[in-house]
Amino acid sequence: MISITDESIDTLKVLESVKSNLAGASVLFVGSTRQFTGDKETVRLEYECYQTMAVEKIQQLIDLANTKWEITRCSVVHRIGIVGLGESSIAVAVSTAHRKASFEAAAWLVDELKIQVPIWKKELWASGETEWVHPSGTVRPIPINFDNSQEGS
Amino acid sequence: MKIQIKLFAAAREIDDRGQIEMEVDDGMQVGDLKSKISGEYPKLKDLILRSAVSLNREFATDDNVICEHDEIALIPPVSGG
Repeated sequence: MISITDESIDTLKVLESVKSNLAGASVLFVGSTRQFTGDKETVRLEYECYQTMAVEKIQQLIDLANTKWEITRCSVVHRIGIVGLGESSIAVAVSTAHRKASFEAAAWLVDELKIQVPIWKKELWASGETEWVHPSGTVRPIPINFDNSQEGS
Repeated sequence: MKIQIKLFAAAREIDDRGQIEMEVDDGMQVGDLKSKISGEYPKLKDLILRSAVSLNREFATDDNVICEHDEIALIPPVSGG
């Protein structure tokens, strides 16, 4: 399941969506809005995305992950719009036959999503300033593959 | 030819409707398009030059040629998750 939603994420439902009798392990990663980045305080985050491309890119990542880890089921849900402190912005769930593959695949998917999927967040700082987060460096305009995905994640 | 370019995040400062239209030469390459946009919007030059361009929802390289009906977007460094 891939979903981009402006509603709060039911993380347990995301975990349930990957359960299968074929899987002996399920891993759920949840990313949420953190209050402090160093000495700067966040009031809330706001996400936007290029939806059609984002869904296609997430599917490509899952397809590629599946060639390496034999994933039983996988779900990625990303929230857009305003996400308050402590609320979930992303949930990634992976199930596989054994636990090592679930941990590795979930970690890889989250790392790659943060580099390659066109979703952006805007900080609203306690000072009242807003700031789009555009990490340093350039976007890698390259096909998704394992050889290229080791750096910068 | 006339092309439309989708804009996201900080690049929407170029136009808050999230899209601009440009007249460009036939056969223009992606790298030249980025130079052209940054030339017209110098305030955002650094961001534009760090951004990728997608053609039909795939990341393009600087030497990819733009066609009239391509779905084009400027993709600043992403920050999802």
